[in-house]
Amino acid sequence: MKVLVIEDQLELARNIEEYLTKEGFQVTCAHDFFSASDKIASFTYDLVVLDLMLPDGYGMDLLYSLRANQKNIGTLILSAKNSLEDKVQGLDSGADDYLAKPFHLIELSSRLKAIYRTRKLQGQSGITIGAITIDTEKHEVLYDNARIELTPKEYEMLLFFATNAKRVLTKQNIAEHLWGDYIDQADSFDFVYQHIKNLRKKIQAATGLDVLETVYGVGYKLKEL
Amino acid sequence: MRLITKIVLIFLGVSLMVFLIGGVVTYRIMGHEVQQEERRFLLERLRSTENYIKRRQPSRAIYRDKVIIKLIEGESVETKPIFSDTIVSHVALQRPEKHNKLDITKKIADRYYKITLYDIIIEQDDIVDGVIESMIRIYAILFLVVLVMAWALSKWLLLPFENTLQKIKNIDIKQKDSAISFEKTNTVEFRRLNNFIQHMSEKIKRDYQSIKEFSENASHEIQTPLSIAKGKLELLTDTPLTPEQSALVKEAQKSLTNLSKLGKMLTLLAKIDNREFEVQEETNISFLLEEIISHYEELIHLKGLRLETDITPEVEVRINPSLFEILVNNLLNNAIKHNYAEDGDGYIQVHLTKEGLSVKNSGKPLKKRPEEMFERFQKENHKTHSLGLGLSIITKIAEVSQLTLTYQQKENWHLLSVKFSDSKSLQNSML
Repeated sequence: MKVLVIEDQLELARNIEEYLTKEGFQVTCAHDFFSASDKIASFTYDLVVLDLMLPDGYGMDLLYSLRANQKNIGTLILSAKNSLEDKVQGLDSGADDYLAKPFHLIELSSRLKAIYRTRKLQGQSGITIGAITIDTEKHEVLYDNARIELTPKEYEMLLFFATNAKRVLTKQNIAEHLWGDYIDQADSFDFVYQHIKNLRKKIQAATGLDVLETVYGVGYKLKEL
Repeated sequence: MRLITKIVLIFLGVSLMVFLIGGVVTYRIMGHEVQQEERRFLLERLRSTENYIKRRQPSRAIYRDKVIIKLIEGESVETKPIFSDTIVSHVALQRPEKHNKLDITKKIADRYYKITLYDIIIEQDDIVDGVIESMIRIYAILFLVVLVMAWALSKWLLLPFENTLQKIKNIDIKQKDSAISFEKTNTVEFRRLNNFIQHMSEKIKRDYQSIKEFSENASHEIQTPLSIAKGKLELLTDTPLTPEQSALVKEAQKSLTNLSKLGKMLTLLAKIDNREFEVQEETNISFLLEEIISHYEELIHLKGLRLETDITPEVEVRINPSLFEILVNNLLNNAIKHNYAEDGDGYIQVHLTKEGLSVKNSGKPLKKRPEEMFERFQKENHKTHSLGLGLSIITKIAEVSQLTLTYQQKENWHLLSVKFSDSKSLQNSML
């Protein structure tokens, strides 16, 4: 997975680069409009992470030219302006996803993986956790060809764990992934706990396996099966 | 009351006073004039009476209508004419009437005569009646003329002012380049007003732009370093950490998240203040509400709360959809946050009618006065991570969307209701 990160804040770009590299992405950074368009013209990428505010140009213009020339590149917009118009305009002009600053790196990598799945793999390959398969196109979880009934949030949570198989996910990560800005942090932790409990119960009832483990004081992690 | 109406009323009031005083003055002058005339008339008659006496030289007293001539025996003194009022029976009218009387003692043909002349007086009442009647007629004419003039003048004189008002109404401070231009007028006051408004509106536009840019930039500039810090912490958690260290990192992350949320909410408040959400459209809020509630349903059930909804379908309200969404999110967040914690008795009731939306939830009574809760950064419980901005945002949204917000609280429930304003009555009140 080749990613071009277009971000004028050097430190932020370095954070993203370091994190995504660990996640197995091949990362290239561009810090301004000029070098970004240069790189897009010279190389091919699977994914582009794009900051809208660049010192020498408007990120949206890059998006338009990307959409016109290289239709198969997955794009994700980063913006500090958490305004609805930006979001709508970004998605309208063909971006696959939109993330408002500040974001969790884990959120960024999960979303990039999701874009990659739908764009490159056309959702074909399901994600597997041992014998459990997550069909990301039909939004189904299967075990022995039998469906495990999950609520939408439980499904999203399981997918989040599966995409970040080796990571410990904090309650905060999970809460922000599931609900974004919908709820206050203080409450969301209870909800995460409840959801985890329910998810564990359902999977255990269907498969006899406990797929999640609690990492004390930090969060939760997918068990290696 | 319109300016011209005020001027007309004041003018008519003042002229009424002038007419009252004028009436008294007219009455005085006319009374005086009439008296002079009557006396002159009596003096005229005195002369003809003297001629009569000269010719006839009567030797005894003569009593005629309005004339008494008495002969005074022996020596006497001549007097000047003495005028006085008296009451004499009127021959023709057959009743006592006020008369003017003239008494004089005069030496005619070496004899002294005492002559008394009467004549009927023109009564004061008659003068008063005349004065009042003419005053009323003149005042009525004045009244009509003033009304007609006022109507015509207001059309013509105040036309530039009306034009200016119309222009002011149409000023949109969000449009950067639309300079307003006023039609030329030769009235000094209106010219000054127009100049003033022009300068004002340009300054307001400039200030508005700079505030807007500041709030946008501030939000951008704060979020970026926050992003960097958050990322660094995340990278740190990927390195081997002791449980104590990871707990520290987690706390730091929590605070960063709070900080960034705070920034976002303050930016939101500023944006609402700047009326950036002014676009209002007929919105099917029943549909929108159902959709938002569906996001929360799971959360509410997880918290062990009962959710009861009573939503009238197809309610359309003129409001900005984004603002309505933020409003409902905040209302529901509040209802969840300030509910009973996990003892199974808590509930949230959402009720939507054509008139308004209300969210009622069970919860402990407030420790503070309800009005205080609507101020910024007011928290009921300082232990929670709540930012204390939810109610300010709700208030602000209600303010710009012309909604009426009421809060009621009894022992174990809280009720926040939002009343939609009738769009028709609203338009009237703005005119």
